[in-house]
Amino acid sequence: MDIFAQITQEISRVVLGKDLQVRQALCCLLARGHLLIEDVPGVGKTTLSQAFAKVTGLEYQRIQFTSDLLPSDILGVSVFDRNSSAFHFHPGPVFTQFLLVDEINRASPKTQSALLEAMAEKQVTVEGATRALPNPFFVMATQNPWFQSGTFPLPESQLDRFLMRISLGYPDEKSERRLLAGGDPRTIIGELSAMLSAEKIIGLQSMVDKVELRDSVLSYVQRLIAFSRQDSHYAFGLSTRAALALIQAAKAWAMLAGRDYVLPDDIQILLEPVAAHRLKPAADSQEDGPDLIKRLLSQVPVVV
Amino acid sequence: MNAAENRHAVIWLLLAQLFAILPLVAVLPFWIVAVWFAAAWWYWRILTFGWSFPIGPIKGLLAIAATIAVYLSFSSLFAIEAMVAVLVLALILKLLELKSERDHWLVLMLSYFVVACGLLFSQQIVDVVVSLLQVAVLLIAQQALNRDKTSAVTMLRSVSLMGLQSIPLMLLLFVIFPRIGPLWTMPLPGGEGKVGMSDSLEFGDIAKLSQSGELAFRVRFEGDLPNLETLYWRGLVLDQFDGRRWSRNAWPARNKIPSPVIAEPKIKYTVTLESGPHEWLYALPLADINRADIYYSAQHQWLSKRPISGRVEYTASSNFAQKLDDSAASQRQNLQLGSRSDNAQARALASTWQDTLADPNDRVAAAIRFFETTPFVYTLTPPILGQNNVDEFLFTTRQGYCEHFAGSFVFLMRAAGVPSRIVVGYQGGEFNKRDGYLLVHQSDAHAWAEVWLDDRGWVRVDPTATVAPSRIRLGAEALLSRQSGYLKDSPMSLRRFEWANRLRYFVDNMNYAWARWVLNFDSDTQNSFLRGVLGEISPQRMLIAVAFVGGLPLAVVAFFSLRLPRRHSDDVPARYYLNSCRALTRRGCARKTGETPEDFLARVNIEQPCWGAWLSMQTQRFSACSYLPKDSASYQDNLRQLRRHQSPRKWLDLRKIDE
Repeated sequence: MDIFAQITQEISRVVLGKDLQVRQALCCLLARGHLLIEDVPGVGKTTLSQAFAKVTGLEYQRIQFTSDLLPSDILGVSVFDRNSSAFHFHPGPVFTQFLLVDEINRASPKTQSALLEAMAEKQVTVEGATRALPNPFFVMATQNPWFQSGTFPLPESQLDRFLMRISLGYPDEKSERRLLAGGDPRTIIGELSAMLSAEKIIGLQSMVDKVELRDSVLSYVQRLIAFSRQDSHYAFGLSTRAALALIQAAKAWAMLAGRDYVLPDDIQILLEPVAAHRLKPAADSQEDGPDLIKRLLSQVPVVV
Repeated sequence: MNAAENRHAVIWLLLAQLFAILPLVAVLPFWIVAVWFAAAWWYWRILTFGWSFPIGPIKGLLAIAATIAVYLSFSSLFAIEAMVAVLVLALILKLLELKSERDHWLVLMLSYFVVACGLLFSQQIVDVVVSLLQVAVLLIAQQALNRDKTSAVTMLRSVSLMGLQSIPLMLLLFVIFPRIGPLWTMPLPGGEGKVGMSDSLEFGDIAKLSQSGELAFRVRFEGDLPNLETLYWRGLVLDQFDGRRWSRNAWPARNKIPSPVIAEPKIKYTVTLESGPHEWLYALPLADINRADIYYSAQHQWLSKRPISGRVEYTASSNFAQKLDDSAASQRQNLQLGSRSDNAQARALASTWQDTLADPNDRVAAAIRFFETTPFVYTLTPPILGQNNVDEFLFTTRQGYCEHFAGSFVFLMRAAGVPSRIVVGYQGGEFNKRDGYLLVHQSDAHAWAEVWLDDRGWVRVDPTATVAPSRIRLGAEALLSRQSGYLKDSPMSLRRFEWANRLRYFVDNMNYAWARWVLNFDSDTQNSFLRGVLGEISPQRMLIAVAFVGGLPLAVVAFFSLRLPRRHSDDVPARYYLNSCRALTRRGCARKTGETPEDFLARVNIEQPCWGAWLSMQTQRFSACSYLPKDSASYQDNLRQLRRHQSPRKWLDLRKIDE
């Protein structure tokens, strides 16, 4: 049994019937991306992320975003030490390997954008000094749908920093029954064992880079982004960064499947989590994110 | 779309209508164009200024007025020009009730019909080019009706394209469409006002004809061109004389006799008469013409059973030396002198010959000598003659054209008791060196005499040759070109320039080819052509020919329209894989555009599992080819297998695949 199956199995002790999402999260981690989980409260976003953090064996920090949270609450602050008569930097929770940001869209845009540099550059600049973040650095954020009250919708630029956006959805009937009968699964999070480590993850990440991407698949990706740019249903087309993200994620996905080459199938599976939050319907279009993805999948030929 | 609201379409419609009508001005009265402008202006006011369409009574009045105007212009409503005029007026007045798109279409279709009507009057190359232009404008107008703002250039391009595409069909119809004979005969244009020989002759008629440079006919000789002096194109025999006017005698003309047997050496030649109703054909004396719609009369002339319209082409063989025989009855007829004139002096002169000379040959010689010795002047503009025209010409004015000489000569001969008659036709011609055929113009029209000599039959005597030998030797043109009347209203006066002559010959060559190959393609030519191509004319073979010629372009178009969207993949494995998918599509299982090979395989396994095994192998090979390094051995192997198994096999044949 390979390690990925073990991870999935371990997490499923806490979060039931979410194998796909676990796999997606793992893919995101191995592709050096960040993950955004969007769903209504109470479906297990936080539980999943906690379990995931535990299983990966990474150094873990959690920030609960609120509307009065300040950037320094995340990044850290310099405090005057009377004994040494000097300022000492107290690193904020961002200086960790696995950062869980809960309800990211509850904080003000100022605080949200403080996270921006950290996610994109894997470094933070506080009081003029640039400090590197640990490696690996993985942000997993949860957010409530934007139509819920008390939210600041993430701007496009920040959404773009997330490699994937996934949603959990309600558990299926069987899993939910087991959940309800078995009591609060959060109590056993502590019992989960770490299957990975920082070193292992860095090794896997470099293996992802070696996964082959053939010309035919690259052409397919190019056809996809070209279609999104030409078709009138899209407000704007997919960016080059989106295409890069898609390729990187697909490579990780291929590796998770035990392959050293990318199939068009990988691209198709990952198109929704990678591209849906980067696409906006045109003003006169009645379609929303999933429809736009379906359109791409059904209209762009795979083999030509 | 409301046609009336589409201003673009309306402008093109008016333009197309004007184009359809304008060339007809040559045959129709000019006021019709004025009517068009009035109607177009009215219609434009209706469209842009909200004028109302005229009410019924006004429209009725307009229609009646138009009909009366046509009647006044042509003094008949049943001549073809008048009928076309009525049609054109109807087309114009239709503008005043152009309310719906349907009316729009009606006007366009009628305009096509009017364009076709234009070809009733003339079918020269120029006319065809003009009508093609008219059709092009009409097609643009038709497009404008169905298109929003588009530039004329775009529409012209598609018109040209459509025109080119319809050429095979046009050729096919031209070649195979049956030539139906006229269901009824119309008084065709050209009888009057058209230049040509008429069936009676008075002094001055041919002189008038000589002023026209129009072409009468063309002749192509098999073998060498005979000497121009010997070419007397015999048309009509005029033997009835009322004292002033020579005309045909109906009885011998209708007296059909079997066509002559021409002895060797024959001269064979092909004559193409210019269009017009032809009641007789021109040929060198004693000719045999093989044609169904003509007959040979006792006066050795070829007459048509019914006037033949359009151009006529026929092949004749002649022998100049052969005797023109006749019966006694018609010889007696050829002695009458008519009652409308007296011409006493001429009678007196002739009776002296009759009294003194017993041999008719001598009397003829005496008459020729008389013309030789008297100082006659050959001119196109002779003075007008009075009551006793022969006397005045012979003894007073002594200026005349060929018909004067021929007419007086025949009068003298008849008065002297020698049966004689006038023959009208053409003499000589102009040789087109470029293409080697003879052009005979109206200016070559000629009249000469025939006298009956018992031992020699009808003998041609041309008194004009006696008076002005160069007329016969060099042709009318050489002799008369210095006289002011000759061809005064013709562009042929450019003849002194060499380049103009060459250009003229070139244009005539083109017209001749056009006439030979297009206009003369009648049912006989059609039959022989089709027989030549098909072997025999049977419905089956015709059907095959039509299916082949008509179906081939369609098949080509269909083939390309089916093939076009299908591009060959640049990627070799992808091409084989797509071929496999296409093969499966034909078996009712199509891969969707966005479906990956794996997804497709999964779906086929569910929907049509019988193909699953085969497709799974192909998908596997395709994936291997796509994702394995190209230099590996298994790549080549997979590619070979992929190519070999492009056609689908059901799972029953699995063993074959494994082999």
